[in-house]
Amino acid sequence: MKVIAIARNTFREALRDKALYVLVVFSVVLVGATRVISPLALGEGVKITKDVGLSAISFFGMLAIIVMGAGLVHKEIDRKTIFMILSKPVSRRQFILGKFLGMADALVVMVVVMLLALQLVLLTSRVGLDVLVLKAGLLTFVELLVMTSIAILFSSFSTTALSASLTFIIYGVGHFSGDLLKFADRLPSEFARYVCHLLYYVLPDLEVFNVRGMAVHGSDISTERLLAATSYGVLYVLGALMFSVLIFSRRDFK
Amino acid sequence: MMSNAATLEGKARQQTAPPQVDRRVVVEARGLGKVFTSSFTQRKKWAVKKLSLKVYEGEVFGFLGANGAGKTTTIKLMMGLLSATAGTIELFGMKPGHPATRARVGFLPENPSFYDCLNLGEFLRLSAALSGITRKREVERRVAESLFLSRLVDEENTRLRKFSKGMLQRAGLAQALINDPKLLVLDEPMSGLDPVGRKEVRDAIVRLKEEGKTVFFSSHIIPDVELVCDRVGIIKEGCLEKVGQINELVVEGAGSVEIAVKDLREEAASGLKPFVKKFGVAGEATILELEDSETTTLVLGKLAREGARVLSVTPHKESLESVFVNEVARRPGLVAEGVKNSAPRRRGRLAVLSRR
Repeated sequence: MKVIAIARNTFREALRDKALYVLVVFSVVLVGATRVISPLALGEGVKITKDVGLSAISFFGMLAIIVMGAGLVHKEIDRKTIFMILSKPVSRRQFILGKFLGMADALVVMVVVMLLALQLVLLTSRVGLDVLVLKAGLLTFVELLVMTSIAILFSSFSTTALSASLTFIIYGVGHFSGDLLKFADRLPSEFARYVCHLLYYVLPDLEVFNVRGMAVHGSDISTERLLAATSYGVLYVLGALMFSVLIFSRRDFK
Repeated sequence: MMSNAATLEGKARQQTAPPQVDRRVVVEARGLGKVFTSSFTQRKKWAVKKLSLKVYEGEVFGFLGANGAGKTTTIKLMMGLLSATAGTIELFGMKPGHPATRARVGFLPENPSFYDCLNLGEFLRLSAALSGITRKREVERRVAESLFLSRLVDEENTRLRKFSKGMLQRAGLAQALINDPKLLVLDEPMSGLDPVGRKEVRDAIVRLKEEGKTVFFSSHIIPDVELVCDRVGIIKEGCLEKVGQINELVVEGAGSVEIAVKDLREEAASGLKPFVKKFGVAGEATILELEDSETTTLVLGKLAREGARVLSVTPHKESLESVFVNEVARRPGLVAEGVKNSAPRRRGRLAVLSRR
């Protein structure tokens, strides 16, 4: 119940933050704009709409995490609202979990609105409801959850600006972390190979969630792929939150 | 090793009537210490040092100290917001970090800052939910009660960002009261408030004491502490310098006594010279100023035998402010001598005897 109270408050704060609306409006306008330029795309207009729409969900979702999620914990310390919360019978574990769930709720709203806008544009293009787009949207949402947990991990020990920067770096690196394994195979040193493998397992492999290309080109996204990626995402989120709780539990609040 | 403060506290308890002996200990610190390390120079500084203290059930305990003396650090250690470097602190015999301990405590932080996007009603409902109050009817009852106690009934739907400092302080008090706590910890509850606001907080503290709650609060405003506290602790450079009831602390400062008499013959007056520091005249009365209260009975006896009419006996005790300033002034350079001497002496609260 206390976790839900914290989550509800975080969600309410996010909804009352103008940044969320700005991001949603921008992405909806962007998806709508693809409909306008589709006559110029030589019959590829629908593909452009799907590609831009799904990428917008990922990009603007990530921006929301940078703007709101990276300061999720640190802002509470900075504004001293943490004193009120932690003076109540609330454990630090409940606090971290509540903050994560609140941000996840805000992302659900954001992703659903953007997916609805995308489907609406596709309907006006006489394509109809696209299940592949929904599947790609779901995995993009899981990717955003992973990034939220990473933002909370950084926010539990660093400032808002630093955790925003670190989260953004991880987002960039995460899309290429799969290359670390290929890179490791070419290294002569055993130690360097070990470090590359370690980094691969520590960093998130965000390409696991990237099925946008498949959705755009109409390739089937299997249920196994969906389940495997979702399980990987859930495990990564649990790990990141566990570390956040460990760090946050040892923190002093001056 | 028992600290000096603990010894003082023990002495204070022995001197007073038994009230604390039978009462339950609500807060107990033993050799509490906290070190802060500068992240840049790695220099260590003890913010609180060997602090031993007991706060008893149902009492109002005032925690006095200059800026940076360690008041807020002690309170944060008490609330589990900081971890102790040395010693222990327990509330109701339990560790402060445990949620079950905090379920019995209400806390008002210094310069409170809350979610300014919420209105007061939403904020109090959040506080109730965090306190583990789940039944809707109970939540609404507690919210209404807290709004009433903090005199903010009309502001339930006002966003916290529109609140003045005084209103925020009262909102903070309202959230601290939401779980009907047994212990209230208030960090500088009167700072920044106007006289009316201060009085309201003072009244609230007195009301809470009447309800049997224990109140621990820190303050700079000595007259307020003097008005509402049962006992006071003075902290200096992280060490608890004095603990005791206000009367004990001010008596330690040994004040003079002033006797106003009429019809005092000259021979009688010369017989009293060894005991009287200063003679004065006020209208028809002669004012005898005695060095301390110990000679008062002797002088009064002599005056009675000489047939002089005693108009009044006024003990001039040191005020809590002068006790506090003297304690703080022991740190060289902190308080200028002028400031030290300007600490007012006040007329004792004790009886002013008068005879017709």
